[in-house]
Amino acid sequence: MSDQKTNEKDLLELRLKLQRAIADLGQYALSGAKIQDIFNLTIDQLTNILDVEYAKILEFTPDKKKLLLRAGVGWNEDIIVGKSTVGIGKNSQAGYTLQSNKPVIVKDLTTEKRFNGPPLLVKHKVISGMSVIIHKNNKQPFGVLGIHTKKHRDFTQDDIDYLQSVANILSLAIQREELQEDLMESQAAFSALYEANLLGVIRLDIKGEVIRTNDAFLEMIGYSYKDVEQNNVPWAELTPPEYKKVDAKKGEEFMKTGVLTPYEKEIYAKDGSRVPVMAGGAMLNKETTESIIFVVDLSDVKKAEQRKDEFMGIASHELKTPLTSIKGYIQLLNRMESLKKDVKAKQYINKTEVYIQRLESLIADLLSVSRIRSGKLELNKRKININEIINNAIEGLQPTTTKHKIIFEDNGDGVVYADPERLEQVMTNLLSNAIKYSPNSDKIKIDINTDGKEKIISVQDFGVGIPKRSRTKIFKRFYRVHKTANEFSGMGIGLYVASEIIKRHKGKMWVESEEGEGSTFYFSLPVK
Amino acid sequence: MTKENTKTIIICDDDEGILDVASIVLEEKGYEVIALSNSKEVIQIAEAKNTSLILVDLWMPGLSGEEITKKIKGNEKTKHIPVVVISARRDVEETANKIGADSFICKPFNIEELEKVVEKYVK
Repeated sequence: MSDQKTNEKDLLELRLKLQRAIADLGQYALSGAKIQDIFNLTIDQLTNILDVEYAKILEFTPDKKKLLLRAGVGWNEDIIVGKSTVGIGKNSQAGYTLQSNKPVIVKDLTTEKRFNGPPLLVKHKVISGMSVIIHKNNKQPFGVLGIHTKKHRDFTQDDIDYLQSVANILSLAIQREELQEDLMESQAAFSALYEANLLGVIRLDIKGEVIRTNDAFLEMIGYSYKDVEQNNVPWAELTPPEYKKVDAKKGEEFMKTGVLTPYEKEIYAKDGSRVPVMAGGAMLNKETTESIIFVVDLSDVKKAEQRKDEFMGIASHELKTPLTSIKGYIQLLNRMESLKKDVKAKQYINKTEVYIQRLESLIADLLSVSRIRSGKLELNKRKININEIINNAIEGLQPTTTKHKIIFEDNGDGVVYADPERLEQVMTNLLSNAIKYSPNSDKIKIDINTDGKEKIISVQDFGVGIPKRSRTKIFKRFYRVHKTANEFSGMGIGLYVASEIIKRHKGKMWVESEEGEGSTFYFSLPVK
Repeated sequence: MTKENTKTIIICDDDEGILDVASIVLEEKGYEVIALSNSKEVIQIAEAKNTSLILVDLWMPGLSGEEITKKIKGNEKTKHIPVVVISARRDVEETANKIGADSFICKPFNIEELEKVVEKYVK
């Protein structure tokens, strides 16, 4: 065999050896091995294959002011992995490699001019070596991979390419480990979410089947983990029939938007009782539709609301009894012959009657709130003339104001299908508001218009008006535009009750307002 | 009106004011009014007296208006007596029908309403 042939054969063998080493390393890096083990194997392999005495992996310290030894082969005992550092920039070969952002080959360290011979290499009598950058990702370098020898060596482009290939494998392994760390971190956060048991959590898989839940949810519905393990939780049948429609609608929205906006519903507990809950959730993966649902138990909230509404109901009933007596005595006074000629007595009696009327309206509203809340507001609908109702309300309210004239042109055509008492309650509430919120004006206008199959009634005042931000909120229970009682007093239920009554008549209530100019409240009522 | 044909009306409510007002109004109309704040006495007196009408509050401590009405209407001796229930609830009509009362009035009622319902049943 000629020398040339021997060389070619050696070269070929070397190439194969390098390729095999790269393949082995790559496989190891992807096997899930720990990053430190991969580093150690890498530098061992490098010293063998490239036939050098020293190899090292350096990583930027967090402050990026030094490079820390992460793995090393061949160095003296006083060089310690995890502790020893080298300088950056021109203070070391590694620093220079990073600074110049390209592989660096050193032929002879003793004559090296590009950077200052670092103590580490000088002390170990290094002559030749090469170093490449290990990237963390596209933008950031992780550190430097270097090999060194005490002999004179002319490292070739092939050698540097090989070293760079190894560094690239390390780069992949580092990225993989970071992803793994991120994943573990997010899994830990996810688990904390379940285990905190602040609210019920349910994880659904692609098929919409429950794959994980927590104590909070199971306790809410009276089941245990044993039930879950033994498949005793009837997941598909937890929703009572009347909520299936809402569920389906919400499900559609969920599939479309990936978000389940919170909504109230009930679910069956193990003992057959119903638990009021608020459910909401998010899709974790839009393609697989894997999702997570959060459930809040509303039992206590509902109970407290119920107690409050019951209390309001009882309180207003209790108020009605003494009111009946007061009303009775005033009416008896009114009938007394001896008082009939006394103008002042007559006037005082009339005034008292007006205020009794006001008290009656307030009590009626309080009672209505509790009835609306408990779903027991019953309507006694019949064909009635709204003009009569309006006139009744005016009759009741006109005596409460000396400033305002309530103007209503009765056109006679006001037949609607409604509950007369409830409607009078609506008119009374709108008129008392109009009076209350227009202390400096002298009139209130009422109008009726026909719009197709609806009558539209409006009550217009020329008072303080409603700020824009409050206009949609005024129909909410206990909402008050003027929070301080020294401006305008009130309970914040009049408009709520009025709008709920109109809603139950299949009508609508709305407002048009200009601050400082006044408000017009409208409501529509179906003619039939 | 002679004493023999004076009609007797029993009114039972735990509120003294209502009893007082009702007594004044109805006595002025010439009725004999038995005002009771203790609901337990209603049945016994209704049985003993020739009663023309019973007005009873639904919501009372002791024997409730509902129980009284049921007992009056379930008793051979008293079932012919008209019973009018008084309640602060607006939806009293349903309850009144269910328990067999003849009519109802809602608190806070006007004395005209009281007179009207009494005239309807006591002739």
